[in-house]
Amino acid sequence: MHRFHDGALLTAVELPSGAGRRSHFLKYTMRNVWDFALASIAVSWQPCSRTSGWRVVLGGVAATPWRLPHVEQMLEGSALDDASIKAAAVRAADGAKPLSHNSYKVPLVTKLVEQALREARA
Amino acid sequence: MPPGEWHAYGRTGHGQRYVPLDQITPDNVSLDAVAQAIGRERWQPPAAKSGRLRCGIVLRYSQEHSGRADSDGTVWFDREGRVHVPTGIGNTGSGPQTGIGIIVAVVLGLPMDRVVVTWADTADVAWDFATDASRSTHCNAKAFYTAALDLARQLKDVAAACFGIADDSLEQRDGMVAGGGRSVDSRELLGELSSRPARSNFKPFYDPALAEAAMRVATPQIRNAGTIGGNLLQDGRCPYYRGPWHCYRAGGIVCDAHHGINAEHAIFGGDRCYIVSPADLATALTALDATIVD
Repeated sequence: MHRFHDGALLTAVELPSGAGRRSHFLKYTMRNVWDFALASIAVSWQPCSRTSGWRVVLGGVAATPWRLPHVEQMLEGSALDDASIKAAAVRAADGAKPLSHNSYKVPLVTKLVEQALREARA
Repeated sequence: MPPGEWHAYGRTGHGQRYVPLDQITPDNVSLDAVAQAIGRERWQPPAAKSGRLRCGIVLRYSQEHSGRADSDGTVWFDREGRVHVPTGIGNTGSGPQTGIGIIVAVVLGLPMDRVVVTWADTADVAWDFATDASRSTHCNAKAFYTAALDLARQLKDVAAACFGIADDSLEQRDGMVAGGGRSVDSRELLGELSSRPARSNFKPFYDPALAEAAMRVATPQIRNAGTIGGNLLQDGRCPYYRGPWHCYRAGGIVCDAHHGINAEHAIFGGDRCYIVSPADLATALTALDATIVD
């Protein structure tokens, strides 16, 4: 995470050239426009016979974008078959501490991880 | 529109007449055909007309100068098989973005939904002679046409090598390059195309996750006025923090959301505060390993 000093201006966002890299994003909202994510997910990976360099990041579930390092590790070298997608998805909400009204986000992020990976494979 | 079909009762909404496209050929395009299309036989001299209202039949034919200077055009192909047309031309009422998009789609034999026209910063796109008005289509479209022809030729060249046939026997339609009884989706040719020597210094960056995240931000009006920095720097989203409460994040000692309404709040990393970041782009950019420069 980037930390701004007082009075700093964000002047640019730098991206790695990303040659050959694939990615996918999903946003779950109550309405299709003009709404904030109840949860969102961005994944990126390097495709090959075996996938590598995984990043699995959730939005709308923490004060910052929330990476799932354990899920990334499970996907490393995976063939993205049904079994590995399912196995990664069920671990998506590991460590979640829902409050009184937001426990729906636990199955939601599980579902988003699964859907993102299935669509990513297509 | 299928041939022979009418837009509306009486042929078109305004009662115009037209010749179905499949009946217009190089052989029959003549003044006679035009005269027929516009109903010239109903013409009457002005003196024969009476009444307050006069209906006439008009064919507007005009020449628009295509600029006093050259324009450059860029089209490029992403790995999802979409063709991008970045331009400094705004979509004025006469629809130059639509027009240029259609030209590129036709040249490349692509469905329109695979052509993305972006109103881009004039500092970053190919040189446009005019970006200001209806004439921008006439001034710049030829450059995009030529660029699209060049891309089409490169795609055919790659496909011809794959199929082992001459590239002039190939044609492009519905997003496919076809010929000699074979066809290939043009997006499948990208890998081979990108392994060839670069033809320009233009290095587009396109990422599907970032594009989708940007497309899902707020509304079109907000997206058109908003910036990436603005999206990233949005303050956290919590009604107690943004409201008049003196919560932990606002300098107090308790999190009001913890025992209050917290349906939209954090499930990860919360402790003294359960706020969530509303920045969709931050999620995508984190997945892309982006860094912030300040």
